[in-house]
Amino acid sequence: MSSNKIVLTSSDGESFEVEEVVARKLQIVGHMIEDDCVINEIPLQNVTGDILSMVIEYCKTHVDEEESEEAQTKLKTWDKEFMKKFDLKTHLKIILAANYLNVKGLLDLVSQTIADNIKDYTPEKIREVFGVENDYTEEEEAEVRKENAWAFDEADTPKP
Amino acid sequence: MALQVKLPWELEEDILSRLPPQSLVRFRTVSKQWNSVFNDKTFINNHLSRSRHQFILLTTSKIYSIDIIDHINIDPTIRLHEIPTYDIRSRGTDLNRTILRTCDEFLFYNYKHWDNKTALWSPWLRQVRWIEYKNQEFCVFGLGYDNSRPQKVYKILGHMFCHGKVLRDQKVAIYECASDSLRLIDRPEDDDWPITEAAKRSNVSLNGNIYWLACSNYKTHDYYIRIFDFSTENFKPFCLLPCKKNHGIDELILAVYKEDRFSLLKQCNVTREIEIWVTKERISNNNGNGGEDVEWIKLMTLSTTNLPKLFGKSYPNSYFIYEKTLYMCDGDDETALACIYIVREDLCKKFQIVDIIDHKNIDPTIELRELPSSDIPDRETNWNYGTITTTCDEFLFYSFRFWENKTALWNPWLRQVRWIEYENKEFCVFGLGYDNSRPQKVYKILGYFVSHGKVLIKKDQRVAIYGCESHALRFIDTPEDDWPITETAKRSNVSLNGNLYLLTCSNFATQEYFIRIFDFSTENFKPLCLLPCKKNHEIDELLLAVYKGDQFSLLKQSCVTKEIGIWVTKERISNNNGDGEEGVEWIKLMTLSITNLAKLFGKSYRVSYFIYEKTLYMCNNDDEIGLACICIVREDLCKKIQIVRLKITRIFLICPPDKACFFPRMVVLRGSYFSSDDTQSCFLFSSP
Repeated sequence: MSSNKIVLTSSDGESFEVEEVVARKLQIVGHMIEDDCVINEIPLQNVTGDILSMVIEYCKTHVDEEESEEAQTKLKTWDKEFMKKFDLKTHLKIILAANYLNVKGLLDLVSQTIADNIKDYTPEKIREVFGVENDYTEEEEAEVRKENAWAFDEADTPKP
Repeated sequence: MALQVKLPWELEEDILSRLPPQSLVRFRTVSKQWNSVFNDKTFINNHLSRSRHQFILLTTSKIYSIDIIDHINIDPTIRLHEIPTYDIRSRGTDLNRTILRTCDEFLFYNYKHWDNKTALWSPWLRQVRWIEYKNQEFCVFGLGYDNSRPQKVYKILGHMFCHGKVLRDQKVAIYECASDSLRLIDRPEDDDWPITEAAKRSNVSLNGNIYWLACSNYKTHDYYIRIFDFSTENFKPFCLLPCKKNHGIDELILAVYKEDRFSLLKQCNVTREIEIWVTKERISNNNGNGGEDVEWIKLMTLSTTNLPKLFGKSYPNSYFIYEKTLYMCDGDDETALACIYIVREDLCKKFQIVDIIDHKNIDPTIELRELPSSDIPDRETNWNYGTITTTCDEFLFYSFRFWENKTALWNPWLRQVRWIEYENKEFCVFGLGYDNSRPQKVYKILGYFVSHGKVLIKKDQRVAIYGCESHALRFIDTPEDDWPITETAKRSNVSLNGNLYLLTCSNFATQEYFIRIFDFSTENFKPLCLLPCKKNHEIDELLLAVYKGDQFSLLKQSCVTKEIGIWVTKERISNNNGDGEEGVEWIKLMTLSITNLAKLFGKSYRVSYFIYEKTLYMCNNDDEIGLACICIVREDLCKKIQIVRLKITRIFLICPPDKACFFPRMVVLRGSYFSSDDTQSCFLFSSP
């Protein structure tokens, strides 16, 4: 059992010392280790310390994924609770980080979490959250909206 | 650091592909790029392949999808969405005669009436492909694709149904969605007909292929799984089942488990115990070659007491397993209303899903919707002269009495109107029904003629039947000195299972009443049964209604104490009950005697009510201010919910035809008491 330690450094200079097995969960690091270009310290340019610590927490928990049903259920519950701690903006930062660091499980988890959270939003809110520019003309938007009016029922009517 | 976190498109796309279809459709309006994903085949396939459990529920007039959100929780959120049907309705079709099948996110729509129509339909993508051939019908069995190819190219397996040919001569065919072409394929060599009714009920789509349960020995109830492999285009046996039926009625249901495995549910018809098996490994095309290499393990046995009955249903049941929990969608055994069941080893939870929220709630949501009456106005409708006279199934009768008399049979939901007019005389509608001994509903109208200038003595009125299909009218005989269509009868008639039932007085002195039936199969009036109570006073109110879809309830209110008694029949009502008077047994359901009960007697219109879960729901005008309200009465309380600015001139109850999954609705006709600028109109209540 290797207890080789690796230090990960965030873009804002925060350093985390983790075990190699944990660091390998970050595939970007995994590849570096395999390519033998590893020293003991790895700078990660595109991720800040606060987000990196969350990614590391995820990887530590998922470091040995057991096959047993019980363990799987436990992990899923943990995942859910873990995601609940953060708001949507943090989720967006985590998904960027997971994408950059290439942590497949976390990417799936956070992507699904975002989808679950935004599914009842109005299109206006979506544009705001994702910074999407509305490239429809007023007429075009009205037309598309009319065609799909049935899908608006719930989002538009505020609950009493 | 920027406030906005801008994601690269591939991440946005990944999130989008995880959204439920409804949200995805709504987000088409976000931007052109978000809209464009609908045209991207890779995205669509990606979206389709994300496993998402969803029940599709078909009622007589609507299609719903049900999502269960937050699976891990035993009290999950259940979402009901109505799926708009205008894409298929544009062909003038009717959900009563429709069969739906599903695969991925596609629905098969099969309409069987005059001409047969089949469509492959995705309501989320708003795509419909009609598959029609002259003089023959393509009956869909299932959808699949060749999973050895990188792209999903959908094909439909079915058979050609030629009228007048026996099953043995029918041909199995494959429809290619890409080329819109049909070709016949060989049937299996062992020459049995593979697409049996049992196969149609049990088929499951997995990884592009179709699997179903086939019986190898009807005597010993041995079943196995058969596969239609879309890559080789042939039928073959796949594997044996881990158990067999102990009795022919036991239910076996195959489903997909964990995206790539099977689960098998077996319910014993005696104990209702449910056993669930799952396959140990993922299922691939090759398993079939041996049949031995599919290994089953028993996942759980469920034996809690209140399990629903899954066997002996007219429709196949749907279920899925998630984290050792069974999720099912089924009609409730008693009320036939759609429910979601969530069953674990130690508990069984039932959630009612109806159009409207929680019935046990004493503060229900009442939705008021205006029914468009634009189908009638070309006849210069004026609700002061025209009126709705009676209802049956979802039809309303509209009758206009002014200079000339007009009557129309009108379905505001399907937007169909049929005018029934005769010169110099008027056909007065009594009620609508159909011969329930025939497989098809052919509506007939019972009524009588009034000729102008003739005095209104009963001798000059004749009872007649109007055939909606033939548009023809014919007179029928009635007992000579016993005119059946009295004012009491008009006020009290109820439509059930195609026949009309009415209250008739047998003795005015003692105020004894009985129920009379007009049987549309034999076309005559006859007595059905006695009432469980009689009026103590002439002004007491007796109201007959349908209870639990096929029974009667009788409401009696005393004009002195306002106390309400409710009786219900013990068994369902059938045509034959009438032959012996003993056939109908009544039991007293409840007595309501709280102080603020509404006055139901002495009204100019008939008060409508229904009973649900020992609760009385009524719609009437408030005694004091005269505005329409809904009253909800239980043994211990009476709640009145005002419906704003609306005064009733008439009310009708629309009962769910053939025990569908609907809660009754009330139709209220509004008078012209308020702002004269308003168009006079009909309202519909979805209640409660």
